[in-house]
Amino acid sequence: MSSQGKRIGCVVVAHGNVGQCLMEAVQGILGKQPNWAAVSNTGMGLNDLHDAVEAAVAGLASGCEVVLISDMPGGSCHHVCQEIVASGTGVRALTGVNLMMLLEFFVKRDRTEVDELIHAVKERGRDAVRIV
Amino acid sequence: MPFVLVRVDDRLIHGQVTVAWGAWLSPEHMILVNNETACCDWKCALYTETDSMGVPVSIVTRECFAEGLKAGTWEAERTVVIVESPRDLLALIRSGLDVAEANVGGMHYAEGKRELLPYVFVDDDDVAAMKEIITGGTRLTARDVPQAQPQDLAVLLQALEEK
Repeated sequence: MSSQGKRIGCVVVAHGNVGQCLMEAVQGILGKQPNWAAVSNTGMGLNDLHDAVEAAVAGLASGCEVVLISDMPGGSCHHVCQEIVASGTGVRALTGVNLMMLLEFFVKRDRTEVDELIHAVKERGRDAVRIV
Repeated sequence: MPFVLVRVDDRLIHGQVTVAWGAWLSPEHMILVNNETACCDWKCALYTETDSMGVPVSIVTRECFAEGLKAGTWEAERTVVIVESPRDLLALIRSGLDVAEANVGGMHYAEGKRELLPYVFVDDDDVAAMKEIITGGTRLTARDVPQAQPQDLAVLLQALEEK
């Protein structure tokens, strides 16, 4: 793997196949991306989901910054991401994932510092929700 | 009793509860009775600061809930009560919660647990607590979302024993 895309990794934590499907859409638009994982909460209690997200984080490029992105504020995926943030490992997390957030993340992650990146991702996601 | 739903769910308050049951029952208040969550600031914030589909959420310890029961604090509104485990539900019943039927919405797989339904796995302690709840006169039905067919836990536990 080149150093491209290795600096900031991403785990999408979502219901059903939402994470995997969103990432397929991202790669359909941007091409194949390194250093990400998708975790589904299907069939999992909070403890197992926590372990699954931690395993996904451990599987990212070593030493990279990590951003967790879950789908639903107040849902189990968000719960587990918040738990990991609260454990003080320096992991960042966003919730309310949509396609524009992920596109912003993958477009900008190699040239943006992580705290600036998560704000940009949040704003892009919010701006994407419109009545047309 | 004002409780429109009393539910065992190891994911606590999450999408199925806020969205599916929320739309079905239009509760005015959700109470998560969970000592671990009630004693953790960020976990409380997770529920009270995120949008539970517009329904106010309270997070209380078992002891606080029991006091509220005695004082009649919870009776003013259409209220959903969520606990993590059958053991917690049994504790509430012992402390005065009078409930004719309780819902088992999610008890996910962990090592050593046996499957009753794809979303209900039990160990010996769960089984003991459930049996005591049922013997005490509370009907336990498994139903993850309102659209699902309710399943009688007494029957499922009997079938498990006969395996």
